[in-house]
Amino acid sequence: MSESSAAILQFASADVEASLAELGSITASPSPEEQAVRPAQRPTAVTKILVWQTFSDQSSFDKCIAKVISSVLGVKLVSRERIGEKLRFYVVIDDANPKTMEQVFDAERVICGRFAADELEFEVLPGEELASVIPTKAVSLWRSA
Amino acid sequence: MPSFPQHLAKAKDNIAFVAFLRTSGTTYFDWMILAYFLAALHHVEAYFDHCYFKSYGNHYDRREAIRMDRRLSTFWNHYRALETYSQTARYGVKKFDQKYIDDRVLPHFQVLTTGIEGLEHKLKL
Repeated sequence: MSESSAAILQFASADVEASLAELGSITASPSPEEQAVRPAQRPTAVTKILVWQTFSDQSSFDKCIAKVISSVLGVKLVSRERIGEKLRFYVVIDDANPKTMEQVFDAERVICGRFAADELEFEVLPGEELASVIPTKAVSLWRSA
Repeated sequence: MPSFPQHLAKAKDNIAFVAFLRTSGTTYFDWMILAYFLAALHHVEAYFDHCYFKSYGNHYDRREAIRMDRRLSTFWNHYRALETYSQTARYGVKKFDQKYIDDRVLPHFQVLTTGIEGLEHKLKL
């Protein structure tokens, strides 16, 4: 594995729970006391990349998706879970800037082109219930500093 | 398989529905977003029927067709943004307002529909 690939995967096998807990501060509903002092919560979205059928190996997806998606300013976390032969990637986006979402769609086009022989589907979900959207057993591939 | 005039008529119906919601002072902004997306979807379907006599019966196939089409792929981000906002409006709990629609949804709709009209003059809405 190259140095850059190693850097991209530096969080591989790390527990995603800590990342979600930290990101929870973006999306969690504040208590009434907190509401008085906290600014409005920052909008968040989650992109799910569903790989239904693939002729490519998992590490190719990990490297490509982490690399392409993490280049988008405003992406907070990329994680992945494997269920049998299927892969699901989760991308947490700070949705305050509309440009971020557009760049994620650019990334979607690049990734779909790279894995043209595979069956991929992108879903963008509102991130209000972040913890319930991303299973804590998902492996963190990348997170913003 | 519906023809492109039928798709254009459906797109126009949805635009008229948006106009109705706007003049009625609605608070049901999620329906306005959905109508914008449906108008865009039918406009895209009109393009595929007019240019290739093709129709797409599900979102996945339509997305792939847009991505692979040399001309329509220019508007990929705008279509995907509208599709995403409509999914959020339908299945999410987010509350929208007119400013959010005017700032974040309407510009995508305008670029997409103007773009399609620019590609084929018969597809004017």
